[in-house]
Amino acid sequence: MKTIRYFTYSFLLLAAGLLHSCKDALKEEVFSFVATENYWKTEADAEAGIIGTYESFLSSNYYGRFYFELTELPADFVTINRNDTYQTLDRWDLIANHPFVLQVWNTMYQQISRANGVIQYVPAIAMDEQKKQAIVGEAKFIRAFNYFNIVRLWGDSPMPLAVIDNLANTSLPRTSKTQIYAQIEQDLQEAEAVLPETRTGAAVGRATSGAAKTLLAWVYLTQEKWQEAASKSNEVIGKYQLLPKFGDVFSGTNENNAEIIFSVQFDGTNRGHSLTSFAHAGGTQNPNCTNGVRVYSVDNKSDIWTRWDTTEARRNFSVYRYFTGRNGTRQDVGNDYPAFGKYNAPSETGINNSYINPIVLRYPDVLLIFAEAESQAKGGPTAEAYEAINKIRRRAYNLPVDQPSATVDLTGLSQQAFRDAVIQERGFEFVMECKRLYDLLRTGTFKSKIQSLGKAATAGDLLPIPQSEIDANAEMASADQNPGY
Amino acid sequence: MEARPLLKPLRLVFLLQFLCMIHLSLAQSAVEVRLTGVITSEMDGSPLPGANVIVQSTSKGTTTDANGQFQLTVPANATLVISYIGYQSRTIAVGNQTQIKVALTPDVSSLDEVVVVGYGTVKKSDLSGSVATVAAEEIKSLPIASLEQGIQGRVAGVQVMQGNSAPGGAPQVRIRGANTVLGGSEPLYVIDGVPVYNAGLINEDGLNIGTQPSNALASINPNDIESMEILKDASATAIYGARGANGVVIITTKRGKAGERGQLSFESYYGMQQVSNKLDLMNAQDFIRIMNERARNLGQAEPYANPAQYTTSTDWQDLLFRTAPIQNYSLSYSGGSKQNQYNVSGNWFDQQGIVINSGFKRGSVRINLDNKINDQLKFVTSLTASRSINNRASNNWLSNAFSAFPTVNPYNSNGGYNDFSDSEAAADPTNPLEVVEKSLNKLTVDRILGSVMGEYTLLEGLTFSIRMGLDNQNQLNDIFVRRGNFTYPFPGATVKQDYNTNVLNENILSFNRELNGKHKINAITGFTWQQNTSRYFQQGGTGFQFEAFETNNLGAASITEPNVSSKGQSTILSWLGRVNYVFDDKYIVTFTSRADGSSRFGENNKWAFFPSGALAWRVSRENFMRNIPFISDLKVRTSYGVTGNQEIGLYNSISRMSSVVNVMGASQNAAIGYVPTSLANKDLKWEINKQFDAGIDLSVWQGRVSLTADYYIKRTDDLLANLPIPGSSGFSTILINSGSIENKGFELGATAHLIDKAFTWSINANISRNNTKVLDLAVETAEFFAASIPSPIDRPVNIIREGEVLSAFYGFVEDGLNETGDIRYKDLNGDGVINDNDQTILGSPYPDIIYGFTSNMAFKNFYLSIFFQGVEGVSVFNSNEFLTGNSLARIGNQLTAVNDRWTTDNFNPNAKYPRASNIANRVSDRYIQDASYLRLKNIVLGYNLPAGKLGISWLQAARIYVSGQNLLTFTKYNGYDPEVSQTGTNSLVKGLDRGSYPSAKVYNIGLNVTF
Repeated sequence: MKTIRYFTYSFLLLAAGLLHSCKDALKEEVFSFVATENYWKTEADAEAGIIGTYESFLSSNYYGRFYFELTELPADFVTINRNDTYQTLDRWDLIANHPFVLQVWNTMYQQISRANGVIQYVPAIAMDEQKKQAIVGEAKFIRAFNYFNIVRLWGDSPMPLAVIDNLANTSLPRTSKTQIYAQIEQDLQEAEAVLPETRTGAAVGRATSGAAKTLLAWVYLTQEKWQEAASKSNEVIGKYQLLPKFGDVFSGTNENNAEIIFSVQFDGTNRGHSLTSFAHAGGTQNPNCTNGVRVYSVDNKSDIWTRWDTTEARRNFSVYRYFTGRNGTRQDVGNDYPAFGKYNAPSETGINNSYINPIVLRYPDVLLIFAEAESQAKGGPTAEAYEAINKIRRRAYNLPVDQPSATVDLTGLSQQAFRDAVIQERGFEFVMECKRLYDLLRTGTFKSKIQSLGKAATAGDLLPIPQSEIDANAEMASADQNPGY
Repeated sequence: MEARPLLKPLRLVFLLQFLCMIHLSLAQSAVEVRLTGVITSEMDGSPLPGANVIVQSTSKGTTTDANGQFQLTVPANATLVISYIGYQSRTIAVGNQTQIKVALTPDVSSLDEVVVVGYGTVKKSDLSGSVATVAAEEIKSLPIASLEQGIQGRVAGVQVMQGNSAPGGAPQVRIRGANTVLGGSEPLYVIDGVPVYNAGLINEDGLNIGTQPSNALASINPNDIESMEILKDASATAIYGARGANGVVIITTKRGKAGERGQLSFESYYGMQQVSNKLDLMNAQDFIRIMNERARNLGQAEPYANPAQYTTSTDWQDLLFRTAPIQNYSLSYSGGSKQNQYNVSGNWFDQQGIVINSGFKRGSVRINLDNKINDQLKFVTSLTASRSINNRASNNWLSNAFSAFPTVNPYNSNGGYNDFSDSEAAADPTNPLEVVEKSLNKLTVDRILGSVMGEYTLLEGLTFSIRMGLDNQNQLNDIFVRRGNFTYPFPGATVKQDYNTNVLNENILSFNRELNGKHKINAITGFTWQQNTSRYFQQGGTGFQFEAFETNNLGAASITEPNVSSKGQSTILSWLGRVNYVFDDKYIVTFTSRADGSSRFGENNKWAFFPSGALAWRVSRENFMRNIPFISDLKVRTSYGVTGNQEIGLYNSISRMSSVVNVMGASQNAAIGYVPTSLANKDLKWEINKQFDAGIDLSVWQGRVSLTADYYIKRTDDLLANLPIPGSSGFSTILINSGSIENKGFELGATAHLIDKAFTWSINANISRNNTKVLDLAVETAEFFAASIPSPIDRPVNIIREGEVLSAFYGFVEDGLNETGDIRYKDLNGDGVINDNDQTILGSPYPDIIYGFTSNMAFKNFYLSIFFQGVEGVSVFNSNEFLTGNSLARIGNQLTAVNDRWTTDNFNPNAKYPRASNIANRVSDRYIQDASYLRLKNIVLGYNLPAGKLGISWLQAARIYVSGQNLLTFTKYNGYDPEVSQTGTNSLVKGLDRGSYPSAKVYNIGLNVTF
């Protein structure tokens, strides 16, 4: 009996001791993450926080790949010869549960959420005031950029402006376009005031005041606030320059050159994308990529194949049918699906390892926004407006940018004809740079344009709000979907 | 003279006595018989040494010798009772025989047999739960790499699916259906007392469609196994609490037995494997014809202007397949005294793959010791160490092979690998042979699994035991791609390392007493602690000047990939207890409970409690049953209990920031940023599983026929779910507990000894039916999809929808061909348009019925064993046919069946395939195919050398056999093998056949010798 008692007591003692320490034993210790409660304390946290915010641009759902599918395939210049999921975007007969629509929507809002984190938590950190303001300014620029894309593609949309950390707060109603534009303008105005004009060294690639101003000018242009657009873009004129040769702008060895205002940074090793191999054709013979698999193709019925002057150097750099293969012979990719020549990465190590930085904003944006806005504000093209567009045209032919040219300069156009010319020039200048769809949308010519190419175009005027969003969002019902879906 | 007359009557008496005695003794010898005989095992005819042969109702008897033989003088017409540990006792009427031969059935249903249940053992007659046993005998000669393969088809209610037949590949095991949507689905394996969860190795993607899934259990040698107990119902599994929901497989390895002499035993087999089924693909001429036809239909120039110049066809499948050997060698020595027993074994297993450049090898050592220090204290030590090397296959190998054109040669004129031009290639222009021969994916796993248990007897029937256990796995994955890969044409090397250490401490107090002859109590209580720590590293680089370095000099890479490392840890603390009470050997009550605290659960829900109860009634022991002698045992039982599933992943309940790699700066360097990872859920907890079971165990005709039947209903609530939240919040899902899934089914198992003479024949069969239904999902739309299948399908194929089976197939329905020869799809919602809304449920990846059938025959020293196994009511998405049976919707070689297609010559509306064109094919009922099958899984013919007769004293037993696996498969399925599911065990993508490694027919010869 004594033996039992002895052992039972010691066993219970052992158990009790273990029980006492078990509460701590069950707390999950993190080794490879940081618990959120321990973050946003130092300057390093603020820097890393904004670097993390930029990172969303590199996602395969954004400038890594699917943003191109979503904005280029529906427009008139780009087509695709793959399965139905892609072709339904090209034909514009998609329905609300299209996977790419959801992926891009989610990634844009993910970047907004990261930016909200910076804007909300960084001001409380003890650090240099100017640096702090600049970081918050970058976050506002990024947030405004995303809302600008969202409002143009989807119209009224949820507009979270603070960090959401609780399941209960995740459902937000659609905010009206007017309010979203007002917020965008406010964010950009605050950003342009605090962002530095230039970036050097390790900060090259981050937002500058020029980027904020250019974006703001574009925002004004889209809302047809012509005078504001003209003035804002004028503030940037002279701060950047056009490179003499169009092809040099996209060189892999001179990224972040003087013409570029804002681009997405890739290095091909740590982070790479597939744009190069996807936009080229010609398989492994093509020296400008690993394997030109021709995902994105020129729509051979569209203006860039049928109505673009074939003597123009810019044209021959941007689209092609023939190329010189690795074996030195002339290769033909065929007339059915010509390819794009812009994104060249001869030393990429794999299909997903392109290092070319997709360009978001560059100097021609400024000039062309100015040209259109100035003409619209003044009731017709002025000399400054003509000069702005003509610089672009001269450069397209490799002619000296500042010297008037009798052959390529535009003159004597009516207001409408001038605007049409600017829209067309924008189309030719920014092939495969995710801008064409927005031009067609803001001029109200989107569906008529693609219907003229024989596309079904039975879907709505805008992208559908992703079905998953409507299903999960308590503040949205099916009736809130965009018309046409 | 007067004394003499007195002797006369005395002499007479003595004479009479003497005569009587003689008479009596003669009479006695007339009723006694000298009997000889041999006792053998029915399974394989091997002799049973040390069996008891006793005259019924007496104590007269003997035991058999080393050759199973005995001699006994018995009364005429005696009845003998023959018994042997591990076998069913037999009662034999001798009649007028002087020589008998009796075969005993290895016990699976012997009432005295002890069954291993969680944390202890229970007599089979006292068991109230649903437990099935697979004995070593049944799997001994099966050429299997991993122990789960041995369970397939042998236990009612347990489905083992060899989803991928690559050597070292991982079968998926489901006990009574799939209980969960997102949580882990594999049962808990307890190996010599150490609980082990078989998650996939090396940090692989959930979808894992590229390389074959890896298997932790393959590092355990199946030959070491003595028995496997499968715990199925809640009463049996509740003792494992938060890990018991998927069922438990308890594995006991062979231990030494006390005896006069030790035993040295050598077991080996050698076999040849061949692919059982090849796809019937087009030759060059058929292919040229369809390619030209397609071009004409599309108004393009014919690609093959001169078909006659292609005189040969390349059969790419033949280039990749080979006849491959499989071999296994085991040497073990065991024995011991009353105080100490030992069993030591070593094993070498080598299975080459039937696809070139693949294979699995394993070397392992086991040491099992049982040491009694004194009358109170004993130690049980079990230790195994193994190294396995797996050359893994990628599913792209076969997809490339059957898409490649038969018109191109694998080698060019210089003897090197042919590079395909764009016009000669399917979507992936790489040479399939080069890809296979020039890639390396080698997984080396070092494992140590062991435990030491000290057991101290405090009083009679009361023992206290402490166990320390360790499971340590180190994995090293060397991946090298030399050239010829679609995505990475340049040589690239990657090394991944995964270190996983699992430490266990158990403290159990157990009480086992019989009181007053009528009350039997068996109780345990205890406390356990288990902690798992894992670390992961990954390094890589590309651009090597010398291919020969492979992964051995990462510093020589001109471009280095970013480093990756991570660490994770999880802990479980548990209190457990069980009481099993038997009254009068008739009425059994069991009550079990366990409280688990797991670090994975959210802050608000760290502890969980799991109770269960069972009742059983041995009806056959009742008095009223004495009139029904043909029923030797009848037990009815029922149980109800709660178990849990804690496989919800680590760190999901806390809010965290993780690092991301960005690029920034004039020199385009890596820049690290930190971003929020997920929305936290402090309430996250385990999935809860409630199960009801009712069963009958029946044995008739003194055990000649026995039956087990069970009916069960299981329901899992608080399913782990990724609740979709509005993407506009910045996250797209949050992990919560919401939803339920139900499994209902019926199991039946039967054993019968049909013939029991010089020729013996017994059969064993099991059949079970299970119905898995999703009851409730957290998602408002009541459905969501599994992950998308990559290109060229680019969409999900499995849907999880309320009211349907888990991961049901979803797609379009075809309606024949239209006038232009293209596929017409049914407009299911009648809106006049064919779009995503015209899809429906097309089939289930889970079988309705699974069954197995074994027949064992023995005659003299020969034995023949046949094992069939099958499933009914299951479908597979034949993604291979999506590529090879699409009339060139996507360019690649086609099945010869596509010769039956609509053409402008025949306008055949009933053609099986549409016209050759570029119209993209949709996921439809054409590709969701019936994969029910019946397979002759194993057939063994063997001979036991009569060692005694040969007069070799040092040889105890020798057996030689030939066997064949997968020799016959009856199925309607068109692909390589109907038993296929390409993805990892926890993926919601099920039933996918996408370049899956085909199964092999194996022809084997084996030799087992015991000294």
